[in-house]
Amino acid sequence: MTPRIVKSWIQGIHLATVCFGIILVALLPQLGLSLYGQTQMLLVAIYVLVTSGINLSFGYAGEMNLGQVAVFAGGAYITAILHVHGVNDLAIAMPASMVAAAFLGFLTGIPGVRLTGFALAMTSFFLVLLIGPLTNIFDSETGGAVGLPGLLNWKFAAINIDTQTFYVVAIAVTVAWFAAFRNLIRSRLGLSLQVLQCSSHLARSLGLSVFRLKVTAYVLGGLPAGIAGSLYAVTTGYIGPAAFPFSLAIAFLAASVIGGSKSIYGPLLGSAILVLGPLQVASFAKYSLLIYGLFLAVIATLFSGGLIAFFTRIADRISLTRYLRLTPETEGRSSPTDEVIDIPGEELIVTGVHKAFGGLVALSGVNLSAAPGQVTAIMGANGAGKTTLLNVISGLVSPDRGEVTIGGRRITGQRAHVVAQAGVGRTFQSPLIPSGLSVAEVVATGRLRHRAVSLLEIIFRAPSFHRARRQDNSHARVALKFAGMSDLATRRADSLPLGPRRLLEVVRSLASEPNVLLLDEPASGLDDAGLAELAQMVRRARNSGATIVLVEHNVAFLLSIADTVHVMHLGSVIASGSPEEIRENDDVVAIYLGRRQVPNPAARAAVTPSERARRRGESDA
Amino acid sequence: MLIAIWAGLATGAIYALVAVTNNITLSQLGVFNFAQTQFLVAGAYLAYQGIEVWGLPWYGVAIGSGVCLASAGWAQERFTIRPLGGLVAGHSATLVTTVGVATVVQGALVLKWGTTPLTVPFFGGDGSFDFLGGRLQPVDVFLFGLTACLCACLYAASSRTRWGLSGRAVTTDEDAARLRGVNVEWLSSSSFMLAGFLGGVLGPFIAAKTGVAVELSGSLLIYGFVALAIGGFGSYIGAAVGGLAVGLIQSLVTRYFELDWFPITLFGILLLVLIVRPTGVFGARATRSL
Repeated sequence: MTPRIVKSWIQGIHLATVCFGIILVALLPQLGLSLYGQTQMLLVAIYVLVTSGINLSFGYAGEMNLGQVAVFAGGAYITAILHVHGVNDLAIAMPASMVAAAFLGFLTGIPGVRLTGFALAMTSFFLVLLIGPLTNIFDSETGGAVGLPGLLNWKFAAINIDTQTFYVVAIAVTVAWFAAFRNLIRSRLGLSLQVLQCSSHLARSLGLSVFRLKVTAYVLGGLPAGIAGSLYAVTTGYIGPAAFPFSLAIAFLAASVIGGSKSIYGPLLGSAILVLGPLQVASFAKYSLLIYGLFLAVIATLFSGGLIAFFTRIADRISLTRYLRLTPETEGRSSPTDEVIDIPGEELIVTGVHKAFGGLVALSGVNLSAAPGQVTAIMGANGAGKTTLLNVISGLVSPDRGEVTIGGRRITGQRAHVVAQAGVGRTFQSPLIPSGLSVAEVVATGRLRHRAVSLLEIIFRAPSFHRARRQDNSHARVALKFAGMSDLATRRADSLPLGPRRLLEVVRSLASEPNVLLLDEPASGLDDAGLAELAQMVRRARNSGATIVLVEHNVAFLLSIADTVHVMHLGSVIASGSPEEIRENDDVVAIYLGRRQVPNPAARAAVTPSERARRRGESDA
Repeated sequence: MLIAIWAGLATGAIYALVAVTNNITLSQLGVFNFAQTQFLVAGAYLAYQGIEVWGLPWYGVAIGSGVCLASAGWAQERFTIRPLGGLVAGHSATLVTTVGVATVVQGALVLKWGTTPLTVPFFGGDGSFDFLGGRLQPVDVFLFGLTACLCACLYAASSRTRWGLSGRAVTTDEDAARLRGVNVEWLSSSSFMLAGFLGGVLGPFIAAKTGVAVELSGSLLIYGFVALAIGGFGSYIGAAVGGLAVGLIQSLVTRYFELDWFPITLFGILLLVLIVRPTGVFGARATRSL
């Protein structure tokens, strides 16, 4: 029996179990579940919906958003107000609530674009305080503090529905969203959000628009809260501002944290515990706040992944699951096994770039070029402007003057993610590796700049989604093989030691097939073995046609690997040439060793004639 | 008009005190403690218990509940902040645990005293007097004095003492501060304890002004936060001025429109401040890093 067959069997059993579970839950009323029990199950569904939205924005995108209750309330009020106006068809009310929720999610996302951390948490928390005043101001529609009672007699698609039918509709809607949620997380979007959580610079350098990504996360996170609000209005038959207190925000957050904020199935567990646990029993209800709080404090302190992570670890011990996990998803499918990768290097030309930070001139008229199939190294003391130059090229810093082109296309002044999409890949001085991802996934994030797949294609797992995923996986695998790191593919990337982490950054960039690859001090902190591996990888990437710009302090390493060397000093290039020429250059020696020496003709020869002409022209100007 | 202005400033003094005490852990450690406002509310409940129920003198109650809440602050830091390892590293976890502790405190208050609002008379009497066109109560005078005094002391402590400068070092780079000999654990403990202590000491004053109710904590937390945002996160003077400004806005909006418009107006102002000037009016430190 091949592993593939076993795997597909396991997946089949898995799917069958899940389907059976869903049908069982949907049929519970027929199996004699009491009305009270049905309401409890509906509450679980409502919590699952809201919590999955929290997981999207908090767990995966990393921004704590306490405004979910306001979105929830918005969804509930829209459905209720429509009912008051005689529209009692859920097939209309629910989509309307979703639209409202998406809009509210967008509104809560606006502060999120500028704010992070506690400021965002508090600003979104503020929205909960606005529910009461807003319902008062629009009391002709919302019923003010009294609320809207008597939300009975609902239809779905023009058919009258009773409690049991509504129960089935609610479960179906929840399952549908949950499937969409799972598909969204297990996709490029999920990867992108985790990249964003790691660092917005990293996200930009991988070609992701931080603004779009954040707004997407908030709008998507709002949608289920809107659905939940709609279901809530029908379930209780009454809504008023008192139904949406601060403590509800805490309860939702607790459900997310208890189950595991950065997990797909955590919301199921957290919601079930919160709703079906003993806290709803009247004699325990007065302890509920105390216990929510304890849950939050204890679980966030001790079990950072929530209970689902705890159970997953146990499940991993069971051999079949482990077997499933260790088999990469596309193993055995047709894939290029050739280790040689083709990197479409293009010429990078930097002309007359100036950049000053206040009074500090970081770059004063830098000219250099880097050719495909060559390693172009930049050396210079700290403060020479090397990293600023890389930041200008990659769009993180915009220059005061000057021009940067790749392959003749002007990229000066473009925002960083646009530059990355145009083909500039880079690594960072201290490796930026998102936590919780496997090595293969980290490498796959290098592919994010290529051919976006739309959210609908992701949710419905369209053929284009599978095509893109296959491509991403095969590129990631090839890049890992190319780097000789295939054996690490399933390891957790953030647990790697520094050396492999640095190499991983390079591999991630290579997987993106960059037209220009910028390496910012990739050798720092590497031991001899690591240096050798890095050197080999850089050489092979060069031989595959890459345009590599290398900034490095390790001079021996740099000279051993570079085809052309530019030496920077105080913001400009003072010498350019082959490693041999640079080694002999007296200016360079003087800067590095502090010798005072009159430049001799040999030193001048190391500077290319055109370079010298440009420098002269500038000193004249 | 003048009456509204003075009334607004008096309410604003409460928000200023919330903001100033919240600013302690924020400026010393970069931690926004959601539980700090609950400590202030807890201080008000302890004042009720001590003064109204047990009939103790107000200063004894102030110090007693100060010690109680300082211990609560110590415990919070020791058990839900320090184990997260690194103040910066555990940032989003810090948010969750402080929300958790805030909820625990609130839950405990509800359990002990229920949700019915309580009152504590002010030891300085409740007669009101005319002052520069406004009407003030003795408690208002004390609140103004306390705000000015606390703000000045904390400002001096943060800019003149070793303790304050260490805080500046820690929020800039925790590891570097550690290597330079800053005792980060002590700094962290002491900041939480000081903030908790002040929560207790201010209890009799806040209780007399606002009454004692657990529902207050939500709006106090939010208005205190807006005060910090307006004044600039990390600045004590900004926190005090921001608090007074929020009180003023509340009083004026309520006078000329309706009470319900106040939170909405304030939310607009908050967004405007955060987007146009994220460092606030007096903000020394940026809220986001580039």
